[in-house]
Amino acid sequence: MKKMPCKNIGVWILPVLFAIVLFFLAGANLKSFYCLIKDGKIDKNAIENEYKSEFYRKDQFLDLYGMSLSALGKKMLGNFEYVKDESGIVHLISSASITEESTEQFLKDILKLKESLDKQGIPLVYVQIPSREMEGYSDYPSNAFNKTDKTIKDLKKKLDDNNIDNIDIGEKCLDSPDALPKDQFFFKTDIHLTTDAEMWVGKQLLAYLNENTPCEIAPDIFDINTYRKETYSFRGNLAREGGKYFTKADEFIIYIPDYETSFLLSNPLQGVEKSGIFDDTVMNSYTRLGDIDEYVYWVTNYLQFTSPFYNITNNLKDKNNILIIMDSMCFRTVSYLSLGCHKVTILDPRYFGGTDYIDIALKGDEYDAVIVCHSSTLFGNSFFPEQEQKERLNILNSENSVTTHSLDYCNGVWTENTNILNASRTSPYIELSGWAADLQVGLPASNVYVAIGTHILKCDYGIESQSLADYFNNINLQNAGFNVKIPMDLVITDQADKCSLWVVSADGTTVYKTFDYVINLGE
Amino acid sequence: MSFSSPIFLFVFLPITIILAYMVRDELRNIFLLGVSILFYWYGQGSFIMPLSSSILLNYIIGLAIEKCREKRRVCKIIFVIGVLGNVAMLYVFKYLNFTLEIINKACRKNISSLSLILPIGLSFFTFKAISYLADIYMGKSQSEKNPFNFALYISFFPQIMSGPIARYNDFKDDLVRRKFDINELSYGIERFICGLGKKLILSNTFAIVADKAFGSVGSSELTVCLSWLGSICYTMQIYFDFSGYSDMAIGIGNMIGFRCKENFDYPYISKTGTEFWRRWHISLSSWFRDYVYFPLGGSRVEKKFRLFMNLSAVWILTGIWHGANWTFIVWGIFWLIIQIIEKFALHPEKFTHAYSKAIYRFITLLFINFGWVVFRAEDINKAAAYIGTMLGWNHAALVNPLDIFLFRDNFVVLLIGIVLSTPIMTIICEKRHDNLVFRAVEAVALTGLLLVCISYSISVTYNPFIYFDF
Repeated sequence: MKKMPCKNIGVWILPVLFAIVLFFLAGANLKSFYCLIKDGKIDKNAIENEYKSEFYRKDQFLDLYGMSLSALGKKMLGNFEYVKDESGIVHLISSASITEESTEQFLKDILKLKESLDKQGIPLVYVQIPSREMEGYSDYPSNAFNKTDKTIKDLKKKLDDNNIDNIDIGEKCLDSPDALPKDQFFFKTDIHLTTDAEMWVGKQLLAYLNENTPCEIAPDIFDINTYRKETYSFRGNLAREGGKYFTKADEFIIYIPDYETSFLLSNPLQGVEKSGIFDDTVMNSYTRLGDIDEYVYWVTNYLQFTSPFYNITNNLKDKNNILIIMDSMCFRTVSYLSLGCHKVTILDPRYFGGTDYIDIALKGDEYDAVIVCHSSTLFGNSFFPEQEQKERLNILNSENSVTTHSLDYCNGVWTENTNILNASRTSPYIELSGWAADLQVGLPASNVYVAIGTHILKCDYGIESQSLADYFNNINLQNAGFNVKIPMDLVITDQADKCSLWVVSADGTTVYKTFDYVINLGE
Repeated sequence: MSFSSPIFLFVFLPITIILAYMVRDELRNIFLLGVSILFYWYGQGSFIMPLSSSILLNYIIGLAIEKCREKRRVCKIIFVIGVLGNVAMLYVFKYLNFTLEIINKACRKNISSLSLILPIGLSFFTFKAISYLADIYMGKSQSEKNPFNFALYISFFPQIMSGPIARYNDFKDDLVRRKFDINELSYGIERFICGLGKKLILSNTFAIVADKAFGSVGSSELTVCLSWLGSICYTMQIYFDFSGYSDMAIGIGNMIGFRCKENFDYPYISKTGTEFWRRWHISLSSWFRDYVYFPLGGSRVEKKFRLFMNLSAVWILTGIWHGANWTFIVWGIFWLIIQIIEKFALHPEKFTHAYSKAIYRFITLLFINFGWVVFRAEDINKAAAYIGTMLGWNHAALVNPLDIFLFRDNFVVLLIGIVLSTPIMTIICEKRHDNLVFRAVEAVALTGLLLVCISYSISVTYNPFIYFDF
């Protein structure tokens, strides 16, 4: 590119515009930069990421980014993260190799659960939410971007072969005359189903429950004409990175009962207890938020996100107790189901943290039916991980005292490299975080557990740890961080005054057991 | 820190530009030196010993060579010590572990590799230093007496990460005679924004497809179509990544009063392989020409065998310079073979028929494309497997739905990349540069492009910079 000297005022235009943009944005972001560095901690990656996340008018820049992608005809967002089909529906691309093993483990867990329920005479039904890439419902070839459709088909065959009752919603979508068309069934911008789709799923579930279990649930709880309807513009979790112009916003419909309701929601683990009408108890009153925009995540307006175990009691019904083991895929279905039941107990195994809440729930009450329902995208891991982990730990046969970890924070406070963990007994949990790795081979561990009292809780592992990778000059350690929340109830019940970490070697055959950390409970 | 990071754009760059003009004349170079060291420290961490050692060693050696110019033999010894010192540092950090690996394999030993961090920009500032010493030794240049000015030359932040490899003679005038020039500033901004766009919008987009293709070697996912699409995308990625970086480096230099020679001249319009290397990474190819090829005699040697040896030295060293891997050496040899065929057999520069020129231009593009496959592959086996798939030798499937999706998804970007690989836009803009309306429209368009680039910078997480590895 050769420069031509310009003899007119035009040469000033670009420098002026450049200076305006550069210095304005520099000034607008100066405060956030200062806040990042004022404590003297200089972790480059953390600074860069924080600076980006706090950037002035970040949402507008995100919209511009999405607009640019659309102008370039791009349908893929990120580095093989999301792809938009011709109907505008965004799909999650997964490179996870979902194998025969993944569904085998799930099948084992379901069979174990069925065996236990059969002894108590409690019927079990598995509800399969369809994949967004379902053949016949997707613009793209099935399994082009992830293997969930294939996996669902494989699992269905195994469930049928093992006589486990199951409702394949996907099959019903293709066969039922009253099924919703695909652009009304799936949100374009969120992994969850639309509210109308969840109401339709509820109808299919209700038909099964009334026919095959002692339940007698009024069928009109899933009739949308019996509700007051509110509609909100919604941008879900699949499109936030593309801004407004990459995908059109969805409409999130909330159905509110137009009759008397009275509920109690109890979540002893998080110390939550709510009572009142449906909108305030089963739902979380998002409609009363002052600042409602497209990014309000309406899905979590229902029930209790991230809670492993809670009960919804309908004070106006005296029969139908249902236990549901699920993730967030049927939040709304279950919420409206509670209008026809006396009690709905909800368990989310993703947050069990090693405690067998299924056992606790089944021992704590009597149920007319147990429903298991989860998303197809979770087949990369077992839905009931704790059973598998306990079995694995029982066969691990070698201990080694090599230090392969650092426990850095307890409830957000730096431990200062001591073995004392200070926590207040009024906190709902003790949250521990740090890093762990199999330094013998320079790889991340395969898992990390915390042993406390009579419990072994599995930690979230694989959290970003770039500073660790930089320190050891080993890029394999970029995601070797862990985090775990130990319920305070558990600590107090077990009178646990110490805990230790168990770091499983990279090849999964040995356990590195750390020294004991002393738990110091204050007021 | 990369030029496309928000911290650089909105913290480092504005402060540097303002203070570069506000600071008193006599302190400007010291200020820029401080800024350059800070820039390097931010990217490298506390390990700046190699850079500081290089600055100290070469400053002293440069002065010593000049002082001993009368005593030819002593001068030569000092020069050789200087060059060996630079090469030794480059060798230890970049090639020692590779050498140990070769010894282990060849002699069935088990010597442990050393835990060495490759200093950022080592290859670039080492070559700068060697060119400085060589120019003094050959009498083309005087040594720099001011240590701060010399340190600034070596560590100059726009160039330190990935070049261009600026010669001291081209740099020294700007050290002492810089003044505010609106044309330079405007030009620098234009180059910077264009470079940013090439990097963030084009190169990063191509990188996704290229990484997918090259990451699928050995699996059934790599079809014939995907292999070709991946190689073409990598050809685009490396050009826009590197030339984009060079544009930004040149642009920043111009903004603060330093002019720099071009590093790329639309290499993909080359008619021959020889011409390609006059257009690609010009600062590197001219470095090897001036400091390896010409001192060995160049093409003015009597025997063809000697000419062959001279070319071999240049191309093998060019390959080795890029990295400690057999793929780079093979890539260098690949270009050696092309050069030899063109120089001794084909003489494509003498083609007169339009069809033969066109065909050979297409063949040159194929050479370039296949060369980049070898360059990009992790190892020789994977390079061979990838090329085998391209040629349909590996029983790979011809196409699958993902390939069609990727082609359609990147079609517009590919078209833009092809157009911008040619000088069409430059020619259009240059003709209208004195037109006020055109300048205004161009300025608004470039500002719009800047805003789009900022949106990419803060929105995307995938942002590789290829030439940082060198």
